[in-house]
Amino acid sequence: MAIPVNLTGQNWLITPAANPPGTATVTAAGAGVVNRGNPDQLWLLVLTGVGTLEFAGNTGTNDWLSETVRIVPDVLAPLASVSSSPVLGLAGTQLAFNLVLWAPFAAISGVAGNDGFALSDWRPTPFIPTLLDSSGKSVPQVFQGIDVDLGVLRTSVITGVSYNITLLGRIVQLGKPVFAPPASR
Amino acid sequence: MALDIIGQNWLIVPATPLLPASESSNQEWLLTLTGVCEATLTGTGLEGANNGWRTQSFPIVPDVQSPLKFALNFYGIPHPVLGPGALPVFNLGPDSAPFATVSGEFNGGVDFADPESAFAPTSWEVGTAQSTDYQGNPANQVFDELSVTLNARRLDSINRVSYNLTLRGQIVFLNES
Repeated sequence: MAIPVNLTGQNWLITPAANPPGTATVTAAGAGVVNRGNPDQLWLLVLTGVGTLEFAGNTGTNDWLSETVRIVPDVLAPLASVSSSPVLGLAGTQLAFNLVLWAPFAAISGVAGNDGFALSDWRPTPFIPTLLDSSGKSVPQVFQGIDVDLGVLRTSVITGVSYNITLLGRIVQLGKPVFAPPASR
Repeated sequence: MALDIIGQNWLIVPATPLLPASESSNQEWLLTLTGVCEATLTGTGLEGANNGWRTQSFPIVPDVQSPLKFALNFYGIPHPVLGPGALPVFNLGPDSAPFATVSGEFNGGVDFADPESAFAPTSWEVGTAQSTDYQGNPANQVFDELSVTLNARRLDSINRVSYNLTLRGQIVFLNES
């Protein structure tokens, strides 16, 4: 299980992105005007920040110790800033970001007693493929955070990780997660 | 020789509202490339030259074909038949924001931490090439690579470098045949 990173500072930027043809964002206000209520509207969301953790090496061996840590930035604030929907709606629904493209980035930002450290890879935290939006439509790529693979050698202790995540996606209103398929008749 | 990329991601989106099909060759795009690479750079040793420092530049060549082809398809951009006669490349505008950092290092060959070993990325730079597109028009800033200059001191060995490039430019097609 991934170790959560305690975020100590975060920033965000969100801006509408051009939609592909056939998902027009044209409103009564004219071409090029963003329709906040259009569920097809694409958004570019940039999340940056830094967090703390304590991942210590094994002083008893000369081997690397590996671990996966999880970074879960706040997306509700940026989504709420541009959405026409409330952050928390009726029946336990809430805003979320269903991804089309993603380009995460993370870096080690603090090391104590340095013998060696490594950041080997990152990826989106596994999506929950059974999520549905409030209309019952599948939203299988809702952003959950990113997982980052770290390593430390001997006396090293990784104490900080920072991130810069660029995302393209659509704002959705999540319904309740579906944990099991419907019972067969 | 370019660094081996362990993992990479990309994101591409129009930098301006989508232009009509008749003007799509002027479409500007925002391209984000991120990834982690394997590197090998060790300082000159405990009693080495240059006060222990060794400096070297490394080229990083991310995959740009995948995002460009995605953008052409996803946004329905008219384009020539892709292939050696029309290879999509990214021709940069004046704005680009590269970033790179050391993501892994250790004290090589010893089982203790040398307190005077050190590492530092000195600089990074986007490399471009001059070319002409498949119709003979100049394409003067075709994205080629990210060049990262690293420093390692004494026993320090750098073994990971990561990057985050934000680039603005146009998709053009080169004739590679």
